[in-house]
Amino acid sequence: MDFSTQAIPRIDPRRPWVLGPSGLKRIVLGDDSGSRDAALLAHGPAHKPLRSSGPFSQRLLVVAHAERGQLDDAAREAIAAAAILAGKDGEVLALLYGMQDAAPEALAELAVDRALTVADPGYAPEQKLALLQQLLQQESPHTVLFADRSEDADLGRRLACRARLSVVTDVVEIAADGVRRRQPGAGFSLRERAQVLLLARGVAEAKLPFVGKGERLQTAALPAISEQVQDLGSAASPASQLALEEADLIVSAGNGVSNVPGFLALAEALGAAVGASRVAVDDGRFSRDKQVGATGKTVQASAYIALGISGAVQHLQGIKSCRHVIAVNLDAAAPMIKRADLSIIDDCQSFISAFEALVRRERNLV
Amino acid sequence: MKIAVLIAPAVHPVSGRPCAGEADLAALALAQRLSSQVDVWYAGAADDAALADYLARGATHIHTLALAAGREVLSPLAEALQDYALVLCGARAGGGDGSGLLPYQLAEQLGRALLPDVLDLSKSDQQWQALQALPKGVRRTLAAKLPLVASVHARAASAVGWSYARLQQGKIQRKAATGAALPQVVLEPARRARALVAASKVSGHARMQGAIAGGEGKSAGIVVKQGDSVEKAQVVLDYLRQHQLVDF
Ligand SMILES: Cc1cc2nc3c(=O)[nH]c(=O)nc-3n(C[C@H](O)[C@H](O)[C@H](O)COP(=O)(O)OP(=O)(O)OC[C@H]3O[C@@H](n4cnc5c(N)ncnc54)[C@H](O)[C@@H]3O)c2cc1C
Repeated sequence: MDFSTQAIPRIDPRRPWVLGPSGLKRIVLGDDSGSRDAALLAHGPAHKPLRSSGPFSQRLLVVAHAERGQLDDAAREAIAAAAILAGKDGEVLALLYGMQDAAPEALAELAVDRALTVADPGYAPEQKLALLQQLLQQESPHTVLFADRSEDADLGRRLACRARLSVVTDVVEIAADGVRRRQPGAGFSLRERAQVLLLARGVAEAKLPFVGKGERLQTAALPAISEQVQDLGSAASPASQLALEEADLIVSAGNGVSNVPGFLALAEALGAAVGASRVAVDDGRFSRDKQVGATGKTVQASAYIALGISGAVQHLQGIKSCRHVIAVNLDAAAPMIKRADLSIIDDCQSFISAFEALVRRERNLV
Repeated sequence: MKIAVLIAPAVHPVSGRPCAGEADLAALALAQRLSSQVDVWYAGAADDAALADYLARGATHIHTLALAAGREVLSPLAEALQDYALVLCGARAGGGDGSGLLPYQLAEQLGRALLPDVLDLSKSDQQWQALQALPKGVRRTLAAKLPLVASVHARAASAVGWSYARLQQGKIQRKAATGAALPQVVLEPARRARALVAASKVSGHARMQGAIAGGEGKSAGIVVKQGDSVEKAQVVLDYLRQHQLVDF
């Protein structure tokens, strides 16, 4: 047989295409810009159905504090739990602090049917309680749900004690026969379903196949009631002085970081806490208390910057609850890149020095 | 000034034996730093051996309100604590229910303000200032007048080390008390909790699409390959600023 020595022209079966003016798909030869995922586009964006269009005969109330205008996973799970428990004739009502700017679509996406959004006044338990009791009287929800952490946990406990409602804290499971909570040193305990439920993480799957109505009650103001306790303001202590579990901004070094002093200088310039992967710790580059992961610490920073870390499952376990993960790695196929929200494919050493110089310049530290 | 500190035995996470609770120890240490007159109170059914750890860690004298098991401790405690202007307790007990409700109930019952999750307390002219621990390292300063109830964060202060001499010298004074019966709780062995999951009515094809689109419905992150290190550093800083993760 006669094989031609010429290269066989290969045709990419997923050649990029653009939509022409006539609405037809056009392939421009030699051009590599355009859309590639034809199959996904053909079905259009997924539309979630409405959970229930009413009329509603009963309702549940979820109370949550947003951070920087966004609800965290714990609060989303509380809303999801309410939406799943509500049933066809149940309405999900939400009282959201610090979400005045949220669009109705965002509220609907959370599966909220009706929301009252209020600016977060900081520490004002008496005012928040008064508003909450007012809302309870108007709407008479049969259950009030809170996430059992920080501000929500505090407000939930205050409400239960002030209004003398039955309450179960640390709820890990809501079942037909009641609610289960974790009992220190004694497994689970089964309780009757109470009026106020404070939910631990993982009670409900936050991802929902439906949306809510997303209506908004007018933005209410908090009632003017004098507080017994004065709020003198809050301050975030620099992350570098905090325990790793508490830090909000962490830079973490893996095997890819060889210039440790440079890395530490970056952490100092950023005011971030220092973490490390197990390999970097085992090497003796960092002390054991810096290790993040399954056998180290579980962190919940808002931002986690992983420098030269491959992203082994044991490491990813430790950063499960980090909201924003930024990865710097030479290898674009590393598992960390899949986890990260922003990935930089670059050499760590040159990135670290460039980033440090930039941060110092921007902060006028030089 | 007399300060009352509330304690309760915790369950040791490994041996399961009663021991001193972290937050309660922190409350004890904080109270001892603030005043030389600290009264330690406990209400419940635990025996003296369960409280011994607190004696060894710095409590010289424990007042116990002895109740039968399964009785509520709130009203006898509230009665005993009426005359203390400042009541400290751990934010969460490591034993019993460990629900963190007691400080709230107590403040409500005594009609006082509550300072939650306190890391530090100090007196400044007429007021008391408290440093409150919030998640992610945020610290809030609160000010209030006496009488107060404060729940103390486990990291507030560290108690003195365990000492046999203190254990021998310490005393536990018991007084019988009564409280209303609490509803019986049913205990079960721990297992993996079942999460509530919404019944999904989407087609198999749609589920498949969801699975391809990446784990947990999260769209894939941005990957930056172009440019030199300086430009990439700028990209990272822009990202941090866009999401308000840094304050400069
Ligand atoms: C039981 C068990 C428990 C474990 N627990 C933990 C744990 O708690 N925490 C933990 O972290 N690990 C843990 N591990 C180890 C884990 O499996 C991985 O081995 C480890 O996380 C890998 O660390 P690494 O990513 O730093 O190193 P590597 O896997 O060596 O990855 C280095 C990465 O850096 C990149 N790189 C190299 N040079 C450069 C450069 N110049 N610039 C940029 N990038 C570069 C590489 O591409 C690579 O992706 C555990 C393992 C076991 C078996």
